[in-house]
Amino acid sequence: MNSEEAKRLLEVFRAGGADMEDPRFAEALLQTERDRELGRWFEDQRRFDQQFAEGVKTISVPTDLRDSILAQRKVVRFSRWAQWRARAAVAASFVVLAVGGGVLATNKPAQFTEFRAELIDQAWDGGAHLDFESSDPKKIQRWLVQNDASASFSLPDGLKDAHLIGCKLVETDGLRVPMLCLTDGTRHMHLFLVDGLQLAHMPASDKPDFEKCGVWRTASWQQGGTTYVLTGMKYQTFVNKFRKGGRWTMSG
Amino acid sequence: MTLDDATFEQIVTAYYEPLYRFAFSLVQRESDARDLTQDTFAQLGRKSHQVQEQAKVKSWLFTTLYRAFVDSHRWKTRYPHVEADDAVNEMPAVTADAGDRLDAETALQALKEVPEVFRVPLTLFYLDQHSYLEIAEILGVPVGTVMSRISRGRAMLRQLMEDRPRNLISFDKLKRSVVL
Repeated sequence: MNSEEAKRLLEVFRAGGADMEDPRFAEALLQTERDRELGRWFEDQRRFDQQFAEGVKTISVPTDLRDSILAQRKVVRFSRWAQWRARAAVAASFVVLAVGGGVLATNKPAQFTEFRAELIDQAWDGGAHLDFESSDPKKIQRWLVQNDASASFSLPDGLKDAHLIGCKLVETDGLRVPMLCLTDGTRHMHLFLVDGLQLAHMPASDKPDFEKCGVWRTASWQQGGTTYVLTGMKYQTFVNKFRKGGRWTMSG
Repeated sequence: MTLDDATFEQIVTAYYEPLYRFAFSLVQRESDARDLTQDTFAQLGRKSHQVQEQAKVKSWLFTTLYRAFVDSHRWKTRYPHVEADDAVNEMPAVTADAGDRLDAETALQALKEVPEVFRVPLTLFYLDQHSYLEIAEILGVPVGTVMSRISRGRAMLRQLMEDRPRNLISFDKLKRSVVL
């Protein structure tokens, strides 16, 4: 190996680094001892790299990131287990009905996850984004009443700071579901409010169901007979805004 | 690879910090870096069968994060014909004392100003989690390209550090000298 070859290789050398087992580096390092000019160049580069490596390692990592990642896995695992249970329950019900001679034929979603997917699909069916624009919750409620939709919701505390843009009525599965459009200043969110929904594996009030639904991140929960489905935020935003001290605060 | 809770936690503990730092170097925003990092571990939870052995999990995480970044930012659209190697003769000369004037904060700031095509391999290089062969795999480029980009990126950093106190050369000018 000549000095030019050694220099090219040593461009990617890190002392004690991930390439230490590569025997070609040992040869290149020997060349720095034979060629003093190469040796000086190498020492200067090592000093330079060391300071940049330290710089990269000063990028501060959020202190709660590890816990958030681990908490997210638990939520996902819970959700999957619940989905499996729901599927098993539906399958068992089907068998019982079939044996009894009453095979049930229906297109209605059997479980909450399907309903949620339909809801979100319907909300983005290519039609107008909003049926009614207003930042005033009372005006929105009045409009909902005028259109024979439920208007008995209250905006959760976690969304009190959000700015209302308007609403839309989403028709799915024979229901007319109000969808509120909000923004927190940077992100666009949709909050669906469904009254009296009774499906397999509904989200709990104290254990929000975090799930990715198509391109949307969603969080779903229940409060006072209303099922809330919030979409459009990222995992971390959900966690930061609505979970404090590991507890869900949206419906508390 | 079987991924029980204990193994998952062990992997998260070992890699969440360098992974986040890599994500931050890509997106330059804490919230986006968090999302990229969390999404990557969420993918590991769902697709652990793709990782044949635990020794490969680190590279899998970095590769997955990088691909997610590329997909979401249409990286290749923004930089359709990056041929950094063509710029070899246009890179500034290296001086001996640039490194002495560095501190960590300045270093980080300078790194942010380096075009992405160089910043990504440089960050992986300085994070020192992977061999340069693995960096090539993560980025999906030939080994020689990685070596060149690290070398050119470092040269740009040196030029930045040289010029920073005097503000003699706009770094935009330096960037324009690279065929992007």
